Amino acid sequence: MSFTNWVDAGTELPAPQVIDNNDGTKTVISYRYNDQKKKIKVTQKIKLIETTETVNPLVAKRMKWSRFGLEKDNKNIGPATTTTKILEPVTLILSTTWKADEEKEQQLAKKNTARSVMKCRFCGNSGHYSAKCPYKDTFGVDGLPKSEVPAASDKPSGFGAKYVPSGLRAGANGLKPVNEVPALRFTNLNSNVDTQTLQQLVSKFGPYERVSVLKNRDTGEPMGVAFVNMLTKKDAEAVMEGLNGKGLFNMIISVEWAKPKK
Amino acid sequence: MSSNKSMRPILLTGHERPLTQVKYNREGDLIFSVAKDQHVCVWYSSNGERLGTYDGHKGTVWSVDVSLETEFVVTASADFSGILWNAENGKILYTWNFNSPAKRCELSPDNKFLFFLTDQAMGQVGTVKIFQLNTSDLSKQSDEPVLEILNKGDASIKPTVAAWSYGGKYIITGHADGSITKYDATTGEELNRVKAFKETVTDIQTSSDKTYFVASSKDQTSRLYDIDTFELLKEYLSDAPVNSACITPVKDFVLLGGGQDAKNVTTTAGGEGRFDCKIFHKIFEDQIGRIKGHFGPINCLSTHPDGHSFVSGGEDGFMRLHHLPKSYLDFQYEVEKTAEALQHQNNENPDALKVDA
Repeated sequence: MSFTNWVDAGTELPAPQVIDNNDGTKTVISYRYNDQKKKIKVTQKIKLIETTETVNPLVAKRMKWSRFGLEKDNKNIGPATTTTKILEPVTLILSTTWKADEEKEQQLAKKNTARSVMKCRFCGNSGHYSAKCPYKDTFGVDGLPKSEVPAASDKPSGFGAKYVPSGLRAGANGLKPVNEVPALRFTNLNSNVDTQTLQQLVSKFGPYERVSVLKNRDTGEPMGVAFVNMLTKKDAEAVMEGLNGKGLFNMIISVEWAKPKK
Repeated sequence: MSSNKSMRPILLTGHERPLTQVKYNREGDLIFSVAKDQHVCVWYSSNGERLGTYDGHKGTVWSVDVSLETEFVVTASADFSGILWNAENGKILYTWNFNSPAKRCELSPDNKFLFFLTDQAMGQVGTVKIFQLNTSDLSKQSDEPVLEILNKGDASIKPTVAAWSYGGKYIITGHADGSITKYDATTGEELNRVKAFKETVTDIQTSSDKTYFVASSKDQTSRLYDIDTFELLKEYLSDAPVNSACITPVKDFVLLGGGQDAKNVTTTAGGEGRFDCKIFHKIFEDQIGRIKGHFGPINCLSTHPDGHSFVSGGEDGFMRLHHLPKSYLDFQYEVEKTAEALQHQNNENPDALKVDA
């Protein structure tokens, strides 16, 4: 089956084939020739999402108006960053006691930030420094009972003894990170991949702890990046092995270990 | 912070000088804004995108109005002129020339007339000039007003703001001495005059059916008047000069914007300038909330005709467009909630209303 010119080539191509997948998606198989005149089969999975919006015809007409005046040379789509800025969220409290409510909200916000900054290492409560903890003598460091915390006398100390960081001392398990399974970082995801799709995908490899697909805060569009925590490291490795470099919705996804949080 | 209480305002920074007036068109998809920087800007209200500017004025633009179908725009400027613009492409259709700055313009509800309020300055008398609009050929307008309402007094009682009533029947003017007047729009006869405020009237905005209006004043108050009876309906007390007030559709609220004048900041006490937009309940007259954000007095306010968003323009040169959160629409007084519940109950059980004889 050889051909010499493009007219022949055109006639040899089979007609595109459309298969309905019964799950709202369609698979379109079409054929074309590439630069080397080789026949290529192109398989596309298409999901059509139809949205209807009712607009006043006058408004619809005005939406198509072209820019004029100072905006005449602006060819970009959407609001220009020089004239339009989306600001941080503000809270609107409507009530007859709005003044008191506003103050309360402010104090609450202040309290919350204070809590996240300071936390007692002995009892875990905020509101006082570790050094001033009333339970300093009953609790050990990081909530462990005092008996489990190695006493200072376990190690030979005194002048001349080499300093050993607390994390490397015997029995220093309290300072190790609790979650030993690092998160998996998915990149190059199709924008149609949502949390649910990914949950279904990774649950084939074992139970997961967390699946989060990152979204653009302004537009709500997925950014193509997701983080997944599996319950065991073995499952996480299986996910990486099973999904890294595989295709998902026409995109070859890459899975790697996420960098630990600092 | 729950999401139904929070909103993300859009900051519109197209103007370089203090804003003087903002206005939505009838459908509310466009916002027209004028400022002391000579440009008239038009914005899409949904996303804050600037569609274009109307360029041609050579001084502060004090006022803007837009026709019912957004075919044309009228502006009044301190360069002694009023301009009729093609709304779609920003071309000038017609220019009216005056002998003093034009402070206010507004189209009549049927768009067949418009008035310009010319300032009492440069030896001229403050006048409301009503023109008939030639709607068949917009570029051919008459320079001769069909009616002139002249100020009968000196500059201390000159008209500062004006507005049409329902059906184009009356013209309401606010004056520098704090009084408001109702004129017959066909004869120019003075029908009512009330000394409403202690100081200058800063803004008059009518309800959506133009049967009552809210007027604001430098004396830190704002008042709601009925147009037919010219009776004081409600009064809203603020803690700073009010530069603009508007009645919100859907919810029974009134928005008040203002703040300490820049020239008084050093001479008056008080830490904050009170540049917030205050939300009052229209009927109960209580302040029920506020929206902060401007760092200069608010000069003008306007609400979307569907009542779900509003825009404020400040002395700081910025406009803030607010798409209001759910908490705004949900707010009700306890009495309102009770009344609604009772009505609901009665609808379900009509016999409950009947009293045994």
